[in-house]
Amino acid sequence: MSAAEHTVPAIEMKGITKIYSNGVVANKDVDFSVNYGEIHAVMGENGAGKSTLMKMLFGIEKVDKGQIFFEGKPVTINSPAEAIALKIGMVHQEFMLVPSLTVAENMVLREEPRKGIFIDRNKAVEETRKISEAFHLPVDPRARVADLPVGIKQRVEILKALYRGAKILILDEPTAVLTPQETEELFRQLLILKEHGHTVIFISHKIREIKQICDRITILKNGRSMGVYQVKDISEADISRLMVGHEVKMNLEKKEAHPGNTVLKVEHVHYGYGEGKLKLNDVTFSVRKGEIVGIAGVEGNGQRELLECLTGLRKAQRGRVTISGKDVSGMNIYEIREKAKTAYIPQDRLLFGVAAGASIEENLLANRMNYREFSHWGVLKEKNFVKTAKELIREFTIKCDSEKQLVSMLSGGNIQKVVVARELSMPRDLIIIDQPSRGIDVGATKFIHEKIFELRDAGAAILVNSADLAEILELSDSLIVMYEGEIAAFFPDMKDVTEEQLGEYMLGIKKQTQEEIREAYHE
Amino acid sequence: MSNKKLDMIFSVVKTFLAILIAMVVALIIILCISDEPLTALHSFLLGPFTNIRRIGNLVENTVPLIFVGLGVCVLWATGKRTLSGEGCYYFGGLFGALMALKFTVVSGKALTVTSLIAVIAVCGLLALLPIVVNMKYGADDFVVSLLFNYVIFYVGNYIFSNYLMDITSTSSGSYLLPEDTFFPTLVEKTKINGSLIVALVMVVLTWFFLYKTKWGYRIRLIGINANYARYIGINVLGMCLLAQFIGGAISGLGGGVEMFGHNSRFAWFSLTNMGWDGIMVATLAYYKPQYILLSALFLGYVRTGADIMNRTSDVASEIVLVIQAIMILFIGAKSFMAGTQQKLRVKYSTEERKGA
Repeated sequence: MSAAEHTVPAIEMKGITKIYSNGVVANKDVDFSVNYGEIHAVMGENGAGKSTLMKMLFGIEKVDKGQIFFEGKPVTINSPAEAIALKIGMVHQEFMLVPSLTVAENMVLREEPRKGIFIDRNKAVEETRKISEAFHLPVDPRARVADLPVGIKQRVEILKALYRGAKILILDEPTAVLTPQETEELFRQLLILKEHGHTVIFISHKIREIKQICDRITILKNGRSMGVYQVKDISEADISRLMVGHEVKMNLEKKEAHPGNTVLKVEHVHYGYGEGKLKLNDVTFSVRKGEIVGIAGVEGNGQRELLECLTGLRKAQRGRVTISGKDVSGMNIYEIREKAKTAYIPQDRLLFGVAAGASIEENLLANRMNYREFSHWGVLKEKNFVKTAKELIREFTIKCDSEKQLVSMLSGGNIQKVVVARELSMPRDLIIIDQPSRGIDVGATKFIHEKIFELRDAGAAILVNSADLAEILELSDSLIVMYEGEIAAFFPDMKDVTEEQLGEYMLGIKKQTQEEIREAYHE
Repeated sequence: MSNKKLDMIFSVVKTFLAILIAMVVALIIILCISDEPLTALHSFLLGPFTNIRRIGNLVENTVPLIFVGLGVCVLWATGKRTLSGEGCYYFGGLFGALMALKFTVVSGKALTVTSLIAVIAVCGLLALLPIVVNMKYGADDFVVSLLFNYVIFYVGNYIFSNYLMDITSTSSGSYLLPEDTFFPTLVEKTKINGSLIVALVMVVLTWFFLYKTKWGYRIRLIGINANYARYIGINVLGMCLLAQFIGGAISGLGGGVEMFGHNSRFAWFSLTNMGWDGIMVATLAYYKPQYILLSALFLGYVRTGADIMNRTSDVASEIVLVIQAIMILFIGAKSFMAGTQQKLRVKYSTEERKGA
């Protein structure tokens, strides 16, 4: 590469504005540029507009205002195909791979090497091997994608982009699904790419990771750019301040737990017969009054199925679940909520947690429609509706124009607060929370964590699942690690538990003895 | 300007623009094919208002459209796209006539009321079947309900030809319906009668049900996000059945009311197509009961006008189909005017930021 090429940035975005059809201003006059051979972080809270900005660069979203320059020349990018032609590649949070095909087949998809009218499989394997060696990213070309661990799938995605000639690689929160060990490996690979003169755009909201490998950083807040900085010149505190606007101390005061009677008993629960592999295999544990039990694990190891079995969205195929002494196997979801007094905050907010097309008020009160206070002879009592909705909005500091506003207009953090307000504003014996802070800002996270502690101290039994290790370590009084549908480890208290140690259990490298695991169950 | 307001304004503008385009195209066609285009246009556009009898026709055409439109609002509220309105409307008419002729325990207006209550119950139940098949066995709601309409029709036709057909009469149809069961006429020399009142009451009731009761609320929540509704503990199957029952009942009531309002005999020899008209009326009203009256009136007006034009000029009334098709095409088209709206959205929110 000649010196002249270095004088213009590889990509420059100027004055970019994007407004979604629901009226949300995702980006406003954002300037952004990257050079060849750098790892450039795009940081911001969720809803700050990081993903939108990158989607415009990759041609998934249309630019409303502003101009993109590629090596100094103005370009319009209307589709991913046009982005790929400009040597831009993107690895999405959700992998875009065909699970039933092999690595090599996935690699060459869309531009398959042919022998006559047939796909030349050997050539595909050959090319995959070549590119994997060239970049020191080892994969087995003949392995089926479905059988690969998450970290390797991500590597295949990166290779796929490279195979298509990408010089500029956009990674959308690549570490969100990785264990600490896998993250280290990814960083090593990214540094190799950088040495090759590739550009990596690294979207994240984890400050520590960015300090570790990035050269420059662009910080976004509320859809606007807060400036570009050399990573080595800016402190973690400054980054946090620019992202949030004020410094947020996450260190919450956490009192000693005083566990009481057992509320939730899960005994020998099995799920997933007939699906090839058991999603839950003989899971036994309990949650007592006044304690927070955390579940750690790489996503997809049965956590979601477990929580859905407890809340009635699925039925355990074997085993027994009791809540406050009541067997819930015969209960429907409504009975589990009302008779067994269970609250449930699901991980997929927009799919399960809210009806985005309904108003805030309608979402907040959906679970108490039957109460005397809110309906009489089936007719809704609108005054009480509005009054309670207003109270909840105030108490849970939901940022909105009015209680009649559609939930789809809110930011991720505020949508989560709607869910939390609905679920946690009624007295409940058992509270089940799946990914309490996924994709929401630091302020909202802190608020929700405080609420969780408050309810624990008031005597609720709380079960939390989170893929964010820092979060689970902070919240939990005791901790279960899940691996392939089984409990791989149980830590009765959180002293001396480290992320690295958890990582080993999460990856299945280690497993505790049956005796140790049995400790998770209290009569 | 807030985004919500912008959305609302655009819905209205889009609807009127669609109507305008449809009308303009119709006018151009009339101009092209007619030897006396001005007469034709005059009868088409102003014909419905030239005398009281014609206004009566306009109302007569509008009333059944209100019922089927409301029916679709409820039938589709849970997101299940069933066509049960078609079968229910037909069967409502048939069952109303059957009751009027055979249920001789009561007579006069008491018979009218009993018949209509029976129609509501029967048609509500009829509408349940497709959705039971859909939710229990996973068959497509649209297809099942479409096919089921034919089952309803042939069963109805069997009842008609075996029990109701007046073979002594020269005009084919059922025996004469007892006149003392008919709705009272509201305006002399017109066909405006009590059925209009029933229709207007149903508009209010349907709106109240969907927006002011907990069942309506649940039904709408299912329509917005069925996963969420299930997670929150709503009995999704039960609520879907309720919506189908009520939607079917309203459509059926429309057919029944028709028997006691505008007909001396039952004489439907095929499905009436009213179910499809209901979809059109509901689409025009954005599936909101409170707008059904307007959209039914509009469609009634266009049809009455076309009818008059058919009789007084050389243009056939089928021109209505052209208007309907173009209208629905533009209203249903998501990207129609989406670009303009996006530009305005960008403009307004940019200005707002500057002001703030």
